[in-house]
Amino acid sequence: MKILVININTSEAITDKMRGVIEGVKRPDTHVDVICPTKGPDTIDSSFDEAYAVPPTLELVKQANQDGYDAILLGCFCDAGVEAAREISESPVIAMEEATFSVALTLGNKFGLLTEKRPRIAMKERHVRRAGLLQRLASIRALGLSTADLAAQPEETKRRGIELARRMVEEDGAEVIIMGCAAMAGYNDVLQAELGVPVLDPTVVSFKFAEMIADTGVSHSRVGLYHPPLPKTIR
Amino acid sequence: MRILVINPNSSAEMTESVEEVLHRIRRPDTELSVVCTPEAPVSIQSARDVALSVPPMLEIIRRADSDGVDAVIIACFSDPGLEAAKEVSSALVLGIQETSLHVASLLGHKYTILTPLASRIASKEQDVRRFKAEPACASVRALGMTVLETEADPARTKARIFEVARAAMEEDGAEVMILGCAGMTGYADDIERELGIVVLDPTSVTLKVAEGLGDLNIRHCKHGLYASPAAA
Repeated sequence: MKILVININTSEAITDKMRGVIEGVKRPDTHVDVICPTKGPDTIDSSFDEAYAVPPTLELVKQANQDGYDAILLGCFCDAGVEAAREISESPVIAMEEATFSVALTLGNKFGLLTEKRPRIAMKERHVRRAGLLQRLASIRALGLSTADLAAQPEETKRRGIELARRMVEEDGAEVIIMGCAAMAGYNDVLQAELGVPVLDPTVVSFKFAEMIADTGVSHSRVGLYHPPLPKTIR
Repeated sequence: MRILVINPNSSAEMTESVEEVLHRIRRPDTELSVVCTPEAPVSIQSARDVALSVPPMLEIIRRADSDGVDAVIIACFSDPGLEAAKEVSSALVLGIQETSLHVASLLGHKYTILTPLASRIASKEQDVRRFKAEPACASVRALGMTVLETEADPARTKARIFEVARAAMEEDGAEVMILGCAGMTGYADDIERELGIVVLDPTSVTLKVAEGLGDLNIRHCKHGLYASPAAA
């Protein structure tokens, strides 16, 4: 089995980190390539960043189809460009956010979503709403630390992440926690032990989801939302 | 008041027809500029088309914003890049879909969106959720024509709008009809007269909303969802 993971930003460091995590959980018989585009923003923090990340990502998706990958994982917890990618892809395209939501639904009634920055809460809620899953959302809470603080104070980050997740469970009715922030990556087990609820790391969950989809041999439906685009001139 | 209307595709014909309609209804003191996006696909009928149209459109919006435009209208019923546009612009940005869905819910119990192709129904349903307009949505129905076919064959387009709108009214309980594609522009009055329901041309409605909000100097909130991107 051959899976391509596309980190849709242009950061080699983030791509390397993602490769490390995935190499650690992949099945021995899975061949995985983890790549990123050469053009576009080096992090995705806004809809603006997403807009510029998508066209180069689509080129990689096109190429992946020619290269015979069994599944393609879009490795950004924002699912930018997933509809467009599915339109142009025969191979199944797995979106990190959507796949993680889907798995969360099977593990508990409502999920709580932990994110980094407060301004992104509204956009996350919009994604959940667009997926039609608002009724299964307990809450979205943000760490609210600057990127510099997250890096400089790992203990404080961890403490705060655990505290927020606990409040989602105790106050908001979350039965599953999704770690929608890279800064908390690696604390899954700690959190799961502390809170006694399933804690999902989107990178891990969506990669295993991609292996599963590739195993089953199904791909996305092409009759509606992901209908191939009409041929046309693009200047 | 200066309003920029962006057609995010590269079709000059479509841009001209939007311009013609808007020039007829604009207020005399509204200075209107209607442009297309030369680097974008010629029409927008897929998520791929949306993805490719957004970056060049955002460049036009950033320029207009720094030139001090009062409002920007994205004149494509997919509202491509609407959130990103609101992030980069301090001037008011309106998308014709989001605006007309909310205006429609003021005017009747439920609305129906008419879209060119059946393959886009699912995408419109997704947009309805994205814009928090689901409870008032009766249905999304398709004409079964491409955007370019609606441009090329007005007689058939009008006949299909009439048939599909009547079905939405009788079978889905729609009281407001939204003509969800630039190619359907210009038929609102006739359909409204013949069927006795409310028919919205999204581009026209959005221009009037822009003029009204512009008068009050009201813009989108720049905290939260539409906060300026860090390094734009």
